[in-house]
Amino acid sequence: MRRWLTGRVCRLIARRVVHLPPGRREWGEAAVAELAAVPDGERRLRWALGSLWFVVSHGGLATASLPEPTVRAWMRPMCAVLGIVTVAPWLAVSIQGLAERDAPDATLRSTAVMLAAQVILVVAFLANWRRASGLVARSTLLAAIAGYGAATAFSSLDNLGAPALAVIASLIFAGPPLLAALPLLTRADRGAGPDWLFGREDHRPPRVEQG
Amino acid sequence: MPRRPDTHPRTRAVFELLAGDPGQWWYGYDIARRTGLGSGTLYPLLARLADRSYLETRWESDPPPGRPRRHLYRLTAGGAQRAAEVARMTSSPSPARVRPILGGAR
Repeated sequence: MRRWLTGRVCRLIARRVVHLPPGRREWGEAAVAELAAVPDGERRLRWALGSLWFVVSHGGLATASLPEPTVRAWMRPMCAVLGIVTVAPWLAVSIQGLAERDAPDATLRSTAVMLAAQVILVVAFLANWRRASGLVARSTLLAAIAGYGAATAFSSLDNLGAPALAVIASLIFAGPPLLAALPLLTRADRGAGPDWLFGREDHRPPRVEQG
Repeated sequence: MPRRPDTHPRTRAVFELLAGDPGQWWYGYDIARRTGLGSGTLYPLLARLADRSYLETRWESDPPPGRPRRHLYRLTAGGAQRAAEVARMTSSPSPARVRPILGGAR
């Protein structure tokens, strides 16, 4: 189990090391290179986790200091606005529904759930608007969209009780924000896309012997 | 009251260890083992010391087959001087576990 976990952490480190700024990449690679010298078991796992912390904490700074590729500079705010636009009308409806307070309990409950999910989703899009392009921001956005879909399904079930309709409602409501968020969720500047477009360099970290 | 630069127990521990044999090159894991620091603490500290030219670094020249090159560290002249200053500034020994030097990388 420890060995498996260490392996997973090592793979994560290897993926993050390339995102370190030039002045810190050497240090990330050094931490990874030492793994081979650390005794297997708990010590190696702890070393790997510490190294992961190092590359993640310093990688965040790297992302903030790197210039945004041209393709992302205009795409990020546009996608965020599009995402908010897909939620905003329904958010207004939820607010109005709660404000009226004459709805039956089920509707009130489902409306509250919808409102919460919509607010979270709007905040997640706002967080991704500018440079909050880290793993946390992207994961939060994805989770917010999934939560919005789940809230819609719950709301539909709560009001109508038809599972098929709940699935359809979930797709209708969560689909547009998901489409708007797709460019934000895939890191086109580093993960996907051709090197010539994004100017990506090949910085392979040292190979780590597992044994 | 702000702490004086380089007098944090962890920094002192690394300074004490490396200043014990200024000419010797040390591996990261050896430093970690002897100071009791984890990799997540040690590497930012080493990087900071290197940024300030207190630490000289190099990659291992001929690693054994199948093992990646390791990074080596030793104090520069300025680093040794700073380590001595820090030792003078702080009267008590470092609380971090500086273990006996059993021989690092050559």
